[in-house]
Amino acid sequence: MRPLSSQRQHSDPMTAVLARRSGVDSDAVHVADAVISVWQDIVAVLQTIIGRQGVAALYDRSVSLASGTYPWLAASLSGPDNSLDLAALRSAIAGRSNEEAAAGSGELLQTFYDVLASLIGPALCDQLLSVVREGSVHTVHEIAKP
Amino acid sequence: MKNKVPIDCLHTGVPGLDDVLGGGLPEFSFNLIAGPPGSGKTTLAHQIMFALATPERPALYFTVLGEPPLKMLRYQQQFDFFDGQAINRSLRFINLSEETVQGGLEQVRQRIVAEVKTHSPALVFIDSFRSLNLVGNSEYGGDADFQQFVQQLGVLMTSWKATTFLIGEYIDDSSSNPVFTIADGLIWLRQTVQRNSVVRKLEIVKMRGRATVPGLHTFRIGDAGIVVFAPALGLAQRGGAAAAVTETRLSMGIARLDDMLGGGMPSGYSLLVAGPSGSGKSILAAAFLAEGVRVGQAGVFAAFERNPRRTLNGRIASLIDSGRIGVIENHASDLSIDEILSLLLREISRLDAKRVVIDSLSGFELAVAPSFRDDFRESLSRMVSALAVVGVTVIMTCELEDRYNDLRFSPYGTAFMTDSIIVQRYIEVGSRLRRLIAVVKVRDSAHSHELREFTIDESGIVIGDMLQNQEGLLGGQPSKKRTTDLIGLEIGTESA
Repeated sequence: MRPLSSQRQHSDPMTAVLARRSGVDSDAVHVADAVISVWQDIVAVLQTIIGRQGVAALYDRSVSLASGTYPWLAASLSGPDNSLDLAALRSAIAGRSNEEAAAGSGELLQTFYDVLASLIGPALCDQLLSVVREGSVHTVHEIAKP
Repeated sequence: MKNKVPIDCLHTGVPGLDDVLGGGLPEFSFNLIAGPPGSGKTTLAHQIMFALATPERPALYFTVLGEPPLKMLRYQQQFDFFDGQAINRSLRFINLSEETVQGGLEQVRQRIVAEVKTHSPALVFIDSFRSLNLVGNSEYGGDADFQQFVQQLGVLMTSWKATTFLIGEYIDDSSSNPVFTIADGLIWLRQTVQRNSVVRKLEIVKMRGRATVPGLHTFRIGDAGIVVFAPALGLAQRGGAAAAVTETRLSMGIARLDDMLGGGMPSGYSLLVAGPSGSGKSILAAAFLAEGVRVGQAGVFAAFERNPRRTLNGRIASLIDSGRIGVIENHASDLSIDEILSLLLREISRLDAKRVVIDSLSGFELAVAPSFRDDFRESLSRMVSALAVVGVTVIMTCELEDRYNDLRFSPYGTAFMTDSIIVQRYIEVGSRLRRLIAVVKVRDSAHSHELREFTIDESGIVIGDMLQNQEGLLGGQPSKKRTTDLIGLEIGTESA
């Protein structure tokens, strides 16, 4: 697993997905909406394969790691029923500054990717999340529309 | 009955498994892969799935409780057969833990039905089925519920024409589990531990509609996945009709030895070269292989000695390095004879080899797992028979403790199973060790009965003449000829 960095690069796969979905210089609310849509895609793809509990465990691990840099993410840990509390995550992101919202959201997504890739390898990780990434291409196209 | 329904066979992609299944797995069959933890059930299931699944013949792999799917993906991708690109294209993993924990068997059944209807799979795997059985026996219901669940599943999969595999952690195969009754096929994996060796075995307990090969078949799990070693003789016979022993003779590559054998080694024969340590058995065998290469016959060298290359001369080592002689080199201590024979037959087939050397039976015995040593003699006999079927000419060397009060050829009683025997001995003459060689037996052939002295120089074995005016040679300390009997000679009744 790569070391966590406080400044994610857009070349990081999941940071790039978020950047494409949220667009450039978006406010915190737009970032929150974009990041929730990415998480919904991730859940849809992975929950079938590794189960709700598996996704929740990975998500919580990622929140724990990312909240070291962005402590406000800690409020979005998953609930006792193993469901991701995306509403709490959205509130947490929307309440931050635009810049911090984008950075913290990107950090969380990329951390999740790194944790998953460290377990099953980047190749299989990319394969499983390809739908999420391809979906983002589609979103970019839509975003590019006037 | 005329117009019988044809049952197509699926090739499992697991080397050797189709052989023991009698050709492959019946399409639309309902199978159970059972065995204790760590016996290779999930690996076998994955290997079959990755071999068979295509976008046109998709697979669903349901994971229930047990090994977390992430761990399964992490470990299974280590095998060569694992193809990540196939996931969500040719095959899908579906986790049922939620349904298992919250809803019990009925909810599991409904989810399976829904997924099968959505994806129309040709192959369905449920791993681990055992955990569903436990659910069936808990608060959600009893044995009757589970039996009903299995029956419904069987009916569903049959009507959807899905070949199904239930992977179950069962240790005791004697229980009257309803799954065992309903299943068309029951593949049982076992592993036995003796001393420091672990031997994995697979048994096709039943497979409706197939003439399977009975018994326990050893298998190994390597980087490429599972390889099953089908029984020796069966494998060889599958390769073609039994090779007839011809009148052709093969040169041994050692001057005068061909004459002693009555004109060379009859093609297709097996020869035991017995002698004490350092007497030159490996050198004789190497000369046989080198001569083969010289006349255009490839060879295979099965090395079980500690430092096989050290015992060979440079010429044979270079033939090995150049790939003209195949080598099977293994110093493991957990092999089965079926595995060794399988490796031999593969190499013989690859090179179209005509000559095989097994050096030595003593090393071979050490390489065989302890649990097979009780049957070593029988297994060796099967191996010699199997090699005879493919028509190769075989030399086996055998360490022989030099005893001077009797004459033995092998501690394994191999003498009876080989077609011919050459023995090498040390004798003392004039306070020096000298070597003797004799042809003891060549089945259905005239041969020399002379005890010839031989030496070993840089060119190999050089056979000389009989020691004139000496007697009692086999006693180790010959004397000038006098009128006494030879000591304890139990050679048998060769008469040229």
